[in-house]
Amino acid sequence: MSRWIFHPGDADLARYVDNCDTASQRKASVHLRRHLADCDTCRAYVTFLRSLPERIAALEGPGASEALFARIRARYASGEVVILPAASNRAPTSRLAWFGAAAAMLLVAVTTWFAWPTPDLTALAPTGDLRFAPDRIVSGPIELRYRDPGLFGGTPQLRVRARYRTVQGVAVPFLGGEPVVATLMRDADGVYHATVRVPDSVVYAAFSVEGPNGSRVDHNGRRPWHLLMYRGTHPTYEALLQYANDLMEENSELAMSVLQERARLYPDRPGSWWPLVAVERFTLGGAHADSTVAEHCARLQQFDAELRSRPSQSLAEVWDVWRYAVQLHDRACPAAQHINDVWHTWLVQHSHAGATQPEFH
Amino acid sequence: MLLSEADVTTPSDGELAARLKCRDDDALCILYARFATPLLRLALRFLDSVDEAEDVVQDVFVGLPIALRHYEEHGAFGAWLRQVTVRTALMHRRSRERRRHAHVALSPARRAATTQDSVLERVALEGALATLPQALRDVFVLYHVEHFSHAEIAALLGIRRGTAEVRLHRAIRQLRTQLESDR
Repeated sequence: MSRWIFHPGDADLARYVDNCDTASQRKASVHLRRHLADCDTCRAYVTFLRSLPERIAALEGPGASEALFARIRARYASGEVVILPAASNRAPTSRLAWFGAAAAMLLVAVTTWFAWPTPDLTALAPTGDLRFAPDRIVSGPIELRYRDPGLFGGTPQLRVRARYRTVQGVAVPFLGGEPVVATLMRDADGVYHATVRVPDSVVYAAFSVEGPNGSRVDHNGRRPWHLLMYRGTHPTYEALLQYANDLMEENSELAMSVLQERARLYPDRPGSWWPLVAVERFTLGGAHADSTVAEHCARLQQFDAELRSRPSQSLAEVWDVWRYAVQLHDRACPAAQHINDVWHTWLVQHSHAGATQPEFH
Repeated sequence: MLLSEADVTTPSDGELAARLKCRDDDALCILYARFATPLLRLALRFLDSVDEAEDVVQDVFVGLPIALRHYEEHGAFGAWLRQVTVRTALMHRRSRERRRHAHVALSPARRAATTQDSVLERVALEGALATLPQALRDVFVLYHVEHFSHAEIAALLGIRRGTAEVRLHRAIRQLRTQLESDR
């Protein structure tokens, strides 16, 4: 007696034609063959399915012409850049992920709206020139020199506000917004001068200039003047992270370029890479993230292997490798899921209250 | 473009890809001879006209030197290139549809002209394929014409694997009905 009381489904018939040969399908196909012997409708459908490859192979189409190649060559020779959506095996994004992304963007938008006072200014407002000597964070005084672009009408004094960040990303002072850290005094040439001292714990400082009553602000077109902590000739790894953190609220493209520079200066640290993956995905979109996943995946595996080969691991090292894996585990990087699981377990076992790592926001 | 048969068949795809990364003109020439026609036909399955398909093929070849930075040689180059072409064609179609929505008045005339020229109406199967809803046709073409797996189709179109399977079966049913009614 046939197993098929009703007609078999399309998928069953397609599998039968495609010879998908698992044990259960072989068993099913015995019943299916019996059904086909009795059923004209299904037999005709199977015949149609079997005829498809031959009929499709006979389809004609246009050929690529010399003229097309000439056009390609002309564009190619002109150095034109085309960014293609490179191949990806990414699974479809879940609704929850979309909801999370929308909520995160809303949060960023709201934070940006309230973060910086911008009375009376438009995107076209002129920006002045604020210079520092020395041009990095030092333990002593730092000289400020500001040229007014005509925004403040020659007022004798201006105020400098600052936003400070420590290695851990904590703003100084913790509460109360950006404090006034110096008063700029106008000299006979119309140039403003002041001196400022940055707290020792600070690795990144952003500055803006405002009029005496705060009604006009020069924040350098939302690219805040800033100072970084240096080691030798380069900004420190920590200072660049805080710089990017600060910019993420207002200028994600600039934050991305800071993180790219950080990865260039400190390529051997996994903590250079996972914030970059995150901000590139946020700023450039999923297609770009897909196109770079193979490169990141190989690097992640290298970091993972190095970390495993050590006799002992530090919390900071494990944290960064784990975060790198987290950024890649939903992409076409099969190794990332395993690395994520391994180091997450390690972190749960080894982390203790109060042990925190500098975060990228 | 004067190429001997040996030029087109001898260097491996991987070698050519490596040379093209350095903007080697000869490599572009050979890859074009090797892949342009199948890619043009592939793009045409997703678009209305040969002109549009040629635009996609142009973009693919012009963009290859940069895209190849992300190609790893352990995969088949041809398969990777077909995936890039499908994605580029889908992107092209989406942007065209946005333009079409913005200029509704132009849409019917343009559609008629391109369909008239289309190769799809020259063969019965092509004609039947053209009657399929776009979502079903995409899956059918990718599975039966381009031999992508259901998992690959799901990734390319941003749908679930099960959805791809269901769409394929619906496409086949509709195609068969259409072909029988044409007799």
